[in-house]
Amino acid sequence: MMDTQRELCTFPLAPNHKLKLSAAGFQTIQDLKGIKPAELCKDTGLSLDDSEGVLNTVNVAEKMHWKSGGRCGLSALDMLHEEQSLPGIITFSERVDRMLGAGVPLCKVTELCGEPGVGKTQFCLQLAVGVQIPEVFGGLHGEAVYIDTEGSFITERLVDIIAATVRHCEHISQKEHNEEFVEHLKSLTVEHLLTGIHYHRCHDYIQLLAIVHLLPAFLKNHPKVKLVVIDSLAAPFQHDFEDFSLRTRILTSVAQNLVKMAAEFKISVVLTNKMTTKLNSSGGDSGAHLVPALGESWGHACTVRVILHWEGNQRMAWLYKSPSQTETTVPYQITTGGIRDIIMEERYQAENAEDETPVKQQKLS
Amino acid sequence: MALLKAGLCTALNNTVLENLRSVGIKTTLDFITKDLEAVAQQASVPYKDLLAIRRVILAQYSGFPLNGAELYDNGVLTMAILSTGCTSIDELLDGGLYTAEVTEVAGSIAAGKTQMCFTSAASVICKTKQNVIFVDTCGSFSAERISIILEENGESEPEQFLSQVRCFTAFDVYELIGALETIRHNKQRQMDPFFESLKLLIVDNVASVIYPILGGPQSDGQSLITIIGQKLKILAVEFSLAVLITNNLVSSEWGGTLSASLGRVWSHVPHTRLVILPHGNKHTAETPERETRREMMIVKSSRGPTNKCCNFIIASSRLSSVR
Amino acid sequence: MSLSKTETGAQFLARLGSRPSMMHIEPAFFGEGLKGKEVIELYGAEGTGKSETLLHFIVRCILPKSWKSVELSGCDAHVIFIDTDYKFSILRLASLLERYILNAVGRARQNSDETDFQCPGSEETENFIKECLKKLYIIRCTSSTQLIITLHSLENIICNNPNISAVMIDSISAFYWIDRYNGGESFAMQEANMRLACEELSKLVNTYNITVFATKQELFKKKKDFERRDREKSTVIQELDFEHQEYMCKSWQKLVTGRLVYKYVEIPGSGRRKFVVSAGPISEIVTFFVEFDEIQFLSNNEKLRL
Repeated sequence: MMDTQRELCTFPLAPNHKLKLSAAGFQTIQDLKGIKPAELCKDTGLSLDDSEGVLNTVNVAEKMHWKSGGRCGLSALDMLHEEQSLPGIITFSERVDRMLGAGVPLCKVTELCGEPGVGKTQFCLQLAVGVQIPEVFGGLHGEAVYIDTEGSFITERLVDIIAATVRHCEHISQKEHNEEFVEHLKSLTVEHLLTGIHYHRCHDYIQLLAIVHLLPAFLKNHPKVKLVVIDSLAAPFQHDFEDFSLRTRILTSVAQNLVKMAAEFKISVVLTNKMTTKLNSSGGDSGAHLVPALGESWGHACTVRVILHWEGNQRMAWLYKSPSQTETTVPYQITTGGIRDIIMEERYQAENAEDETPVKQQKLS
Repeated sequence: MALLKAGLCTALNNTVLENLRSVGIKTTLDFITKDLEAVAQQASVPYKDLLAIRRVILAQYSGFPLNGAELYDNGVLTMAILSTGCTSIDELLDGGLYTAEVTEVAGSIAAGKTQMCFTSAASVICKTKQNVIFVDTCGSFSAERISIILEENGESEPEQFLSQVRCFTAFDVYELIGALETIRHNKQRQMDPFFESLKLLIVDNVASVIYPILGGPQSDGQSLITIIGQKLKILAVEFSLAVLITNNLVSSEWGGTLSASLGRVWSHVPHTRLVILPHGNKHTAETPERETRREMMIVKSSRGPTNKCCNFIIASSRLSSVR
Repeated sequence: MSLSKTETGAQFLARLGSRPSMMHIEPAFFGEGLKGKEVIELYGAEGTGKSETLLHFIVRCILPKSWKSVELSGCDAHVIFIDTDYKFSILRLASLLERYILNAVGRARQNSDETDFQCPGSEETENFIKECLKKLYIIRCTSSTQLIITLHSLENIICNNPNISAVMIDSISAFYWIDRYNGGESFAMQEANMRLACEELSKLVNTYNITVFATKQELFKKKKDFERRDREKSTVIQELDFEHQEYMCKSWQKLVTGRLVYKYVEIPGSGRRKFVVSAGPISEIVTFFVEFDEIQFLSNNEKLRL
């Protein structure tokens, strides 16, 4: 059996380059073997720069897959050890953390869907703080990138959450009586935690695409970043898009870029999505029900999907999709200090009573 | 394959190559389709030499004819049926995943496609002791989950089996093609023992890398779909692998029926297509470790009748049949 | 072919000598019989039974007229099968062969007057199947360029084997999108390869009296209005739409001498699929079921009923 070679049309080359190459008879990489850029330039009519670029792309793509390890096939055993060693980002609700495994997972894209007011932005703010606190307190000692498309990022609210988080860390430190903890506490000031969040505001989908495009370079220069939040992804795409096919292409392309970023930089990407009404097709129950927005194709894009919804007066988090965790629904609440667990027997426990009051259906997200 | 290069055979030296180029013959295709007598005159190359070159080109570049009886003996030797780890699905598939075939599982969000991939992988590595490659395009690979599946099925040391699974990441269509080419190259060269015992290739999920290029004004989306389909089938047939791919379920053009996505061109690709029928689960209470029931239907088969169904459960341990 | 081109003796004989006739390959489809130099296109959407039919044709081709006093009605011809889809399964073909032979043996035993009718043993049958399979050549192609070069190399094979009567291609449209993409904006460039393939096929068909069967996938479908869409879901055969959407180049269109259009109909209740083929006027509709190891044709009465 002949060792057939990879066709040139399967490389990420510009369409007109591919045309010129095939018109000149170059069909597989075998045809390009041993060719210098100058020769290629003469045979195909491409400029010298373009010829070099073509040969580079082909060589790089080839080399990437011949070398062992890296992006070329990792043993599941190594990946298991890595997965087990990577912590998650805590949400401060133990139930939600347990539902997700160990908090919002790193190396994956998590989608939070929900109606307005259910707490999507609260989760985002909470995570942006939680990722920064030192490891001894359950955090990742990292930084966060917060991309805001709706203007729902309110600094005062963030400060409340930071204050409550710092108090939480102080409690832990007091219990542990450890020098190390006291040291770490010193750096936990409101200012410090505010600077750990890189904030960007986008007004339309073009700006959003530009930021996502520039993110990999940013992440390379800021290795401490462990969380990227996009709140919300739906907003710029819900209106002004007549061509649904184009919207699907753009959204799925963004999704794949984010999935790649999450895996490559070992960060967590959290996106928020709205809900939209879907009319039931015939042959089912009548009426309409709420589904996450942005369409069916988008729905497959995120690795983890959590649907936040109401059950009567109670906020619930439903883990709808996850590769490793079972489908579960847990209750949670939003307090002045952020996301917290529901305490089933008594709503007001001694520890939390003084400064935390449950916040009912305010339009906070 | 296409360009004529000196040294292809003794008759094809640099001078002859130049002469041929001067009359517009650059590729093997150009050479084959021209009338050799005319070429001999125009390019001043001896007819005998041209005949010799033609013979070498035909021998090297055309498909190799295989005799039916030999192919049959070979097929019987190399064919294997791999259990998916769930008896009801195995029954539906008339035994399980067949080697030399591409089996597609289509389902809506959270239907259980990835869980089926994990369960099949776990079944292959511990029952047959062969190797599995998992090509992950959507970030869904979880070694922990495979480890739990192995544990709950009685393997006390799941870690010893995990080295039989390798994960390739491929987040766009070119990376996917690159990954498939790498696998093909390694199987051909036969230097890495891992690829010698490779039996199952999983791609989860094919649609993720195709959606960004599908539907535009250019035809590159359709051609890349054709190429990916072709490469998957070539891997299955030439190396006797079972190929398991996942796809999404979308509403067809005028609503109503759900069908596998990626369109008409892709619909021809798999040998067998399974659909996990849509479920309408609504959960209200906190109930960990709950089993979720699904129904699976075989909608396309190159081996037999279709439209048969089976039921299965996604449990914490794996996909299992309904009792 | 210029007059001055020399021809070897073998080529001369191969051109003019007779090859096994395709006349009775499948009366259900080709009532009057195929006379040779025909190019039959099998067109249909995914899962409509085209490849299955080709396998059935192969069975009818490679089987002899009779074997051990069992009437098989085969053509006793050699077949070249070009697999561009990588879907051909030799094991499936073998089981179809076996089932066909066993059915024929069963019929022969019923019809036989002699009390000592000997049923062939399983080992005998298996050897016979292998002998038949030797009459089949399978060639796989991964690109339209390779298809063209392969078609050129067929001339030699056909010359040296006077029993080859049929060339089957599954499918002729496998490289359609790849060629379209590689050809860029110009239709001429896009269709260039297919044109060359058709030229060579035409030469083989006309020079050596070969019959060609090729499957063509349904890649395009006209957007339908609601009324016609409802007819799509109809289970009544007369209402089925056997339309054909051409997309291949003119050279292929000129080459095709007959077309079978495939559709399937879901039988309500049982979930089984009935495959329906139209070759022209409605009286020539053929319907069949596909089971695990055979094609069951329905008689004229059965097919119009549902």
